[in-house]
Amino acid sequence: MSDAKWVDAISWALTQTNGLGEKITVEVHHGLVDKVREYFNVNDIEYDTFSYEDLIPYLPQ
Amino acid sequence: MSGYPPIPRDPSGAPLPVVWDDGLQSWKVYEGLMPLETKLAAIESKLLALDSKFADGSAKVALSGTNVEIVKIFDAVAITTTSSISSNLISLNRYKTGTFVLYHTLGVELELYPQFGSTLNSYIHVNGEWKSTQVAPITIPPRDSEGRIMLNTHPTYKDVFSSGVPSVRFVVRAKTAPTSGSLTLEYWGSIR
Repeated sequence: MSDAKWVDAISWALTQTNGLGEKITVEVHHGLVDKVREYFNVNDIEYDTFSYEDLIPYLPQ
Repeated sequence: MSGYPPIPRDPSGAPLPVVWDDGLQSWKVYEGLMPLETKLAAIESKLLALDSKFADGSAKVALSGTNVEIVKIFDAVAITTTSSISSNLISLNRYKTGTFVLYHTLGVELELYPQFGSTLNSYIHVNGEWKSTQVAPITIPPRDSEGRIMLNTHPTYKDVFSSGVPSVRFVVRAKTAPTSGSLTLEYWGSIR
């Protein structure tokens, strides 16, 4: 998968809220990963098993 | 001849008050309450600072931050298959006891089992026989909303999990391939 897709997914995820209405942040790892996965699903982007660790290189500084 | 020393006087000849100094074992000129008042003021200042810490909660945060640490065993793993996924071997030596806490939003049933130490299999006594932990998994029901599952309450593993563990690796397997969500497993360790 290209780096741009990871960056786009994370950027989108960080504008979202979770099921409790709380803003998605970098600090709550499972919330961020869930939303990144949702972005991949919605945009028909294929992916393998991944974790928060895989997002680290693409997180905003 | 009396046991009292000569009365000290100021330059004008007026007598000065004296007090017995127990530390010096002699009489000395009384210099007033200033030193004691200064000490009291310092104590009062410290008490006010302490009171302020309790009022704003910072004292409580400092205490819990020092005694309990969170160790990530699985850090938000978005599982896509039914293959077994193993964590690293995590050292928990610095903790006296702790609680294993699982979050998952994968929406499917999971099986999870621990391996203690780096080499040997671990066996536990279940329903009258010894079983490898691999064939005595913890079944986690499907979940698709956030919530914590406290693994120490599981009847098979509660004694082992709650007594302190030197090192552990967990293996997880989804019964059907998840299409959304993730899995996080933490250890809330109480430092020795």
